[in-house]
Amino acid sequence: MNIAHAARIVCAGLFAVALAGCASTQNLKAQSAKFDWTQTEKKVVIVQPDIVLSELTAGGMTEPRADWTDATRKNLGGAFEKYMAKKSVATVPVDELTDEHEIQLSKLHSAVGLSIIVHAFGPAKLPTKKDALDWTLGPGAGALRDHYKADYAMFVFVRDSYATAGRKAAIAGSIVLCALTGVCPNIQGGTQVAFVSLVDLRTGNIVWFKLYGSASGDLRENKNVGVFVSTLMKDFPL
Amino acid sequence: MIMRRALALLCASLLVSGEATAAKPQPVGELPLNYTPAPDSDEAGLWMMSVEVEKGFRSSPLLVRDPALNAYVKSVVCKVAPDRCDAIRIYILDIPYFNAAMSPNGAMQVWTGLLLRAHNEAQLAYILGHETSHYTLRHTIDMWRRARSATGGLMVLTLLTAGIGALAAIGMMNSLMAHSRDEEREADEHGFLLASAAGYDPAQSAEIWRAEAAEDKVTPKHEDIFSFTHTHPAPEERLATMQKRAAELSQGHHEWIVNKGVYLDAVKAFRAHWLDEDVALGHYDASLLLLNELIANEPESGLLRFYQGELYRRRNAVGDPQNAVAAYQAAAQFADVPAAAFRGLGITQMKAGDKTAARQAFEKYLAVAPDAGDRAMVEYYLSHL
Repeated sequence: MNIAHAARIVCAGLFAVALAGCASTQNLKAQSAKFDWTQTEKKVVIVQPDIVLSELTAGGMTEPRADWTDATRKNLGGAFEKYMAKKSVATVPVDELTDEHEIQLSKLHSAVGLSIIVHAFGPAKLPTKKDALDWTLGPGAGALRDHYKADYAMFVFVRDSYATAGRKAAIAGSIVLCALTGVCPNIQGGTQVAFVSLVDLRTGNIVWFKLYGSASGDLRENKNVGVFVSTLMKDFPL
Repeated sequence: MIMRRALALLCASLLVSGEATAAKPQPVGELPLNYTPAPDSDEAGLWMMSVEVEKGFRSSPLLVRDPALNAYVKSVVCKVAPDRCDAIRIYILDIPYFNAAMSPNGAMQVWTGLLLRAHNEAQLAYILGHETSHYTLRHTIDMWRRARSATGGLMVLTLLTAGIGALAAIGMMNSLMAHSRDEEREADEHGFLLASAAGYDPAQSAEIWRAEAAEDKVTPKHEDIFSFTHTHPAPEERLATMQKRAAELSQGHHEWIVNKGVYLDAVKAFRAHWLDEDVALGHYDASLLLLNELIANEPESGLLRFYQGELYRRRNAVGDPQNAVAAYQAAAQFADVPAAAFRGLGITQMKAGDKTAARQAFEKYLAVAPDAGDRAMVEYYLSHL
């Protein structure tokens, strides 16, 4: 199962980056969604982002970095709150998922999100869905509504990698090799793949989904995180 | 010429960067107590991913939460490795294959297929000793560094040979797998020392591999994805090594701990469920072999003979109906025979056309289990016999 999961991330990543050489985004909005509030306060749960920052080693292994990941996760949470505050939407940050059901929801979202990328944006269109955003986390998401008294939740997924010095040398080497012999190995540098979902906690349905892919940008710097979030959240429907 | 020199220079810088060293990275050695890796290290990255995986275990529907069973398995770890007792977390996962695994941060998975197969506490202790050793010897980080170095080396080779060197990937995978098997041998040896030092009967470590080698032969190949035989030494090799080590150690030794009764008591309540799952896999030959092993260990078990009957009935090869009848009848000799044995007996005899015997068996079933959920079905059978 882990191999299949990793393969989907790689596939989604390649696709997202292939969309454009530089940063690119795509979003989908559910046609049937209402985008309204029933609670007295406009409030969105920001579920702890599923995020991993890695080094891309010379040979192409992605080596997770705990220090970068922890720092960026915190910065990202803060940037989302700031963004929502500007829209006069209150946020409930869930900084550390401990509840078993909520952990499962977060993992479910990552799995569903990767499927959306492959089947809604990617080449494997499903005849029953076509381009429609018709995906759900199921009524189990209602637990978040009861717990936090909010109508919506945001789930965030980020995989971000940075080439090591060795990888950069390998990329440079491949360019030289290409010039010398005409053999041009395609050696990728670091990539960013991210997606966010807005989930209606009354139904569990994903009512808005945004995909972001980039071959540049540095989330390790807090100053870049704000720009990243505003790019990611452009077209946010609430 | 300048370009060639540039390429050579880039490859050289790659080599010295440590990501593609010709020399194999050396093992880091034993994990210090109360250790946390430096936050900016590769090891911290692996631990972080392990924490995520562990969150998955904690919230998994497969997690067996029974406090008594968890406490028991944990107590065996603590006997085998008292100094690591606090650092290791046990997650018993309801997966019907023979396996256990260790994360670098001390999260240990124990699959129920293993608990079904162990005959006694000593066998469990040798396996847990092996897993604990992967953790204390920090095998995951060693493996990661070797893979990083090997893939980096492959990159240099690919660049220097204009792509032809990529063919060396097969050799690289072989070398990594061979290293993996060496680490398994090391964990076997280290685990053996831990469990035998705790007083567990060394002969039991060989017993595990004798049974596993036999089962491995009849397990369908498509289930190999769940098998550890590629990354681990062959069960036959582990059997031979363990027999030799056990013989060395047993000379003139005192009483060894086996704890068969304690172990069987601890797993008793789960046995039927684990056997149901094993039967549901549909690899009847392997399951029948497993049951023969278990019955040899517990000749007085009606439950095991009932499952033997179920397997024969389902496999339904030549002679199996007769074997099933014999197994159900043998099960009925013991106090722990499940009511379903009489139903199985009735169905088998009904199919064989032995109406009188089938009627007797079904009547016995309804007498033993008057509230059975399938009572109406069995009454229907009876009305047609």
